[in-house]
Amino acid sequence: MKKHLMPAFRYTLKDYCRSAGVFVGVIVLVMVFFTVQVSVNGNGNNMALSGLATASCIFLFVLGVADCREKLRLMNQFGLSRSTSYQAELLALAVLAVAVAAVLEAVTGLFQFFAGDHFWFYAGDLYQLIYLWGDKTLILTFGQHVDSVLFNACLTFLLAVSGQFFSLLFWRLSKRWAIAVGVSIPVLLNLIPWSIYRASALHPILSRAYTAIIGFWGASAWNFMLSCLLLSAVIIGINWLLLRRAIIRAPR
Amino acid sequence: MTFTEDRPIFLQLADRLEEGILSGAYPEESQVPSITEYSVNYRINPATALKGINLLVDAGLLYKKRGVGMFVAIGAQEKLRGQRRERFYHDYIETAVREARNLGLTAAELAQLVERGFEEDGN
Amino acid sequence: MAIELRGVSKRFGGTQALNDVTMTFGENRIYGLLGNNGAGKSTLMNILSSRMYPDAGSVTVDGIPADTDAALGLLFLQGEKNLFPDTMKVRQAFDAVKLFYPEFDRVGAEDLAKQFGLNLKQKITNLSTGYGSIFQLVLGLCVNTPYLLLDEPVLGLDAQHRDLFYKLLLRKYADNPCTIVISTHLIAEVAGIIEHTVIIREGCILKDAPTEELTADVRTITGPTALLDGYLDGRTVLSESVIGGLKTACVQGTSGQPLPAGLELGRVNLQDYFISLMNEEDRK
Repeated sequence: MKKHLMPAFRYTLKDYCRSAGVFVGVIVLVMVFFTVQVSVNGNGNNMALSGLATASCIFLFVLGVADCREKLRLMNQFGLSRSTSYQAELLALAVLAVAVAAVLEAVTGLFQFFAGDHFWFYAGDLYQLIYLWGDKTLILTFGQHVDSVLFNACLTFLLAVSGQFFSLLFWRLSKRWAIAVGVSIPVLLNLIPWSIYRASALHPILSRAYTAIIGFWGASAWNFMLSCLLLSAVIIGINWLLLRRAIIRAPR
Repeated sequence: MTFTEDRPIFLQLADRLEEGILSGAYPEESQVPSITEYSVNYRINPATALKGINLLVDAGLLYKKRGVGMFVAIGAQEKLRGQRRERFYHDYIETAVREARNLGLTAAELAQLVERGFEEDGN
Repeated sequence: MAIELRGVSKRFGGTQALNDVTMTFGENRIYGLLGNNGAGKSTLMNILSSRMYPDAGSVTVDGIPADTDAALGLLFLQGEKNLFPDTMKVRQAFDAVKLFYPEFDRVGAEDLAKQFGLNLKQKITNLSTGYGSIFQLVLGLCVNTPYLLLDEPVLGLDAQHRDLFYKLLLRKYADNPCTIVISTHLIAEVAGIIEHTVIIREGCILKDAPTEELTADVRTITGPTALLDGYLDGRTVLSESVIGGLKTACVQGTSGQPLPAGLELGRVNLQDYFISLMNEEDRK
């Protein structure tokens, strides 16, 4: 099994890097464009360079959705078992998550460094927002940058495997169920956070649980990362159960 | 080249080879096509080709030079002529007799037809 | 050294695609897997290459379970549709196959592609049915795995290319012997090539024997209807047809026995044997 895992991993990663390259390229161009525009227009406007984590989340989520089945098909044609194919894919996604986060963090760091004490210019991200209290004047240390990268990587990896989950669900479900799921997911996604919040107010135990979890996450980025990784592991387990007996067919 | 459906392919292949030896197309000590060539050109399984060739090897008409291929044995032509005469009777005469019976010909009438055949072929 | 199936069954909704199939594909032989549409040929091939899993039974390749890397690396399936992504170009596919099948003859593949007129720069999705098949069979001819599974290999190929393919396949088989399994409806074309025939019908294996054996014992007998009927009494008749006063019957188990006068004997080719067999089964 080891013999084929590395070539499969390298092949998958190279493939992902192409899409990632486009994504990162676009982001950087957008950043440059807006920076130039704002600096030309003067001090009146505040520019915030954030939301890169969100963009990365969406990118990796879509990657998980779009590519999962196609990769499994291709790897089967190459004579790889499902377990090797899926392992290679997960490894590639993990590396990709870290790489994309690192590149974007480096770009953000550069902007921060050069913007210095121009108060109208803010470059930061989710990690900074949550754990460093969104202090706009802050220039992150290297250690803090590393934390930010890992934070983003864990979050985006979670979203990637979630994307895979949806893709696999649609693969295994019959058409009727697929439509039902497809309609209900966005609805649920909107309802669940609100419901949890409201539910937590219903009963002291729930309320304490809710506060404990939020507190746990708030205490340190590492806690949140751990939760992400645990949840990812669970989803990966479910994904494996979904794909291990799925029928591989050519796309119509 | 196609094979007919009335006899197994390996037998037909063996026949063709024998024809070649008899007619002198494959002189003694010359090399006959390899199993692969027969297989590819006639679109048959190599095992079938091998079976046909082995028939001739067993009859002492071909021999194998290791690493080179199959060659026509010395005296093959003579041997074949002898074998062929006996087979001629089975293959042609018996069939002709049966057909003659179907048509209601007597032995004498059949002999007349044979003579006619020799005359016409001479022209 | 063989592919072994033991008690393999597979059901799709209401249809039993494969029913308790037990058979072996042995070393260095050309097998023909013959059957009508829906008989289960493709299902069998898909299970061998782990594209689907059987409901029951086991499949092993050289003793290794079929759904592992080691087993899958020993075989290559050229299916009716290939599993390459749409945007991949032919050349990229060759590069990728080389990565995973180290025995793949890359240079040979490019030569073959040229011989067939396959454009290396084209996207796989833009290939016509015929060239899609050509792409796949170039891969199959050059991949050099111990087991080569061909599912309708000449689909969409014109006569010239079909002829070229069979010739190339035989040459490859002669130069590098391997186990080849050809699944097809074009029985007449492959009859000369396949050493061993497996006939599958409605998920069950009807016949599994060397090709020669199957047709050895079957003959067509032609003669006046009344006379033939008398002879046929008590024999296994696979099929009959009548034109005017003359009847032709396909009969099993007549070899070596002399025929009464007025009846003519003929051999049966594989395709006619198959058709007769299917007709007989339909009647049952």
